[in-house]
Amino acid sequence: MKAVRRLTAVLATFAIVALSAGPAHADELPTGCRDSEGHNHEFSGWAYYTTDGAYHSWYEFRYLIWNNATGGKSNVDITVNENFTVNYRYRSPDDRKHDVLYTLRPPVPVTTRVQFPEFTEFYVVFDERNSGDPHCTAGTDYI
Amino acid sequence: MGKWRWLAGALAVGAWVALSASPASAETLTAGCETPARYERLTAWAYYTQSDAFHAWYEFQYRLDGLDLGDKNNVNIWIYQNSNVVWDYRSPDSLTPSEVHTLTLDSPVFTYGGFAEWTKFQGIFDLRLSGDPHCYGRTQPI
Repeated sequence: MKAVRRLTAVLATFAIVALSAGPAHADELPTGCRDSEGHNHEFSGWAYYTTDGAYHSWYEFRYLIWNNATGGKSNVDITVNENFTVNYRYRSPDDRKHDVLYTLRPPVPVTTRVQFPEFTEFYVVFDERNSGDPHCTAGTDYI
Repeated sequence: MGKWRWLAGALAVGAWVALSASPASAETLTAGCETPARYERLTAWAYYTQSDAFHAWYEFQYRLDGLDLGDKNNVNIWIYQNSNVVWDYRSPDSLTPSEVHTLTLDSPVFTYGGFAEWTKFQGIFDLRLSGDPHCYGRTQPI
């Protein structure tokens, strides 16, 4: 049931984004999430792409862990998805610190086809000093 | 106290003069977040100009999306300089979903470029049938 609601939300968002033009900064997609267990760790991520005819090229990703301090060994996984299939995956080292803006530039930009829903998803594991490591997932808008 | 107020005023005037005297370039920062259930999303933009040592934050835009949202959503905004809040705003409890709302300041908020500065947004989503979830998003530091 949850999966159905999520899919419905995804499709609705895709339709909204496709039909409505926001401010003209469509080449930067922001997202964010909070840790799952109430430790008040926050995450923000940004994905950058260009459009060339029938293709999008995802050329850069940035991310930042912020708010309450972590133990300094967090990690961030990034996936680029095309038509709900993972097209690119990156796993950060297990050493991401809070309040540091990290930038990832894949050696070759990740190409996706504009005819499909495409998005970037960040999965974050926060290094919590005093208990198990909470996590969260944040996805960008669909393009 | 009076001395500090005078100093703050002088700095603001100085910043304004500096910004007026030299060409300022407009810049945009984005922020976004999803609620834990991931059915609701905030997307936001912060606009500032930059000249010499100061930044002048003059406009914000924000949009709340989600399934079955009511018309009583809110957005709160904070500007940070060097980890301290220098300005904050609480929107009316009446933001409609799925459209971009714009807040233009009568007087820009100045921050000093020698520090890390950023804007934080909180989206509060009006769900018709349950409690209102929220999420926080922030811009990259400048």
